[in-house]
Amino acid sequence: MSRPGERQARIAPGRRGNEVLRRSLGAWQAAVVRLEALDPQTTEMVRLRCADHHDCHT
Amino acid sequence: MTVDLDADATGTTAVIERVVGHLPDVAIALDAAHRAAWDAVESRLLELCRVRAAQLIGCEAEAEARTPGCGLAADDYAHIAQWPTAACFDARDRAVLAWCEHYVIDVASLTDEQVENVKRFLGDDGVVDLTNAFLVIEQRQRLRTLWERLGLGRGDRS
Repeated sequence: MSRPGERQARIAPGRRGNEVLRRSLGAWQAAVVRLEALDPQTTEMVRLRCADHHDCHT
Repeated sequence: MTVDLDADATGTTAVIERVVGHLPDVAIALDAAHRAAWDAVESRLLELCRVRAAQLIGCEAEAEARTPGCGLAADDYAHIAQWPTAACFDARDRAVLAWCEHYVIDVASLTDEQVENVKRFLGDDGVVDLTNAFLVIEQRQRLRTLWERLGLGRGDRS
């Protein structure tokens, strides 16, 4: 039972989709994060801004 | 039905190679994610999303391109921008295109109803796969559009 105002999960627990796609997406994002052209502070600001844009609370 | 990504009908893979080819970890990983995206989602639905996203983002090359083997007819392509009323699209196409449009315009405000409408046809795993696959498709287009506006990735500058 959720509390008033609390968001319900849209996807049932344990549903993670296609594993190959999920892993390859993660590998791509990890490869981008490992790049060193941007300093860590700018990288973190971009990461946080993207999380906000995507409404990602994790 | 199997799409032919090696045909590179959009030209986006070539642009990405020209810009980040010197970063093989990134280029190879993005190519693998792109292939996995097309393997994980029904190609008709992903092609509808690819073209509609390109129209909204302003990625003209992607909007005009046709992915070989995806199962869309010429009439489908001609009416993607008119999807709410075009007779060539069924309820499943419309649910996915409504979700796609909102994702491109403001992903954080996608509604529970829009997600439920897609789930009704694709199930929970299908929504997860569509989201992951479309993320790859959309980000390729945004990267290309930005790079080209910066004068990067053009064939004559490689």
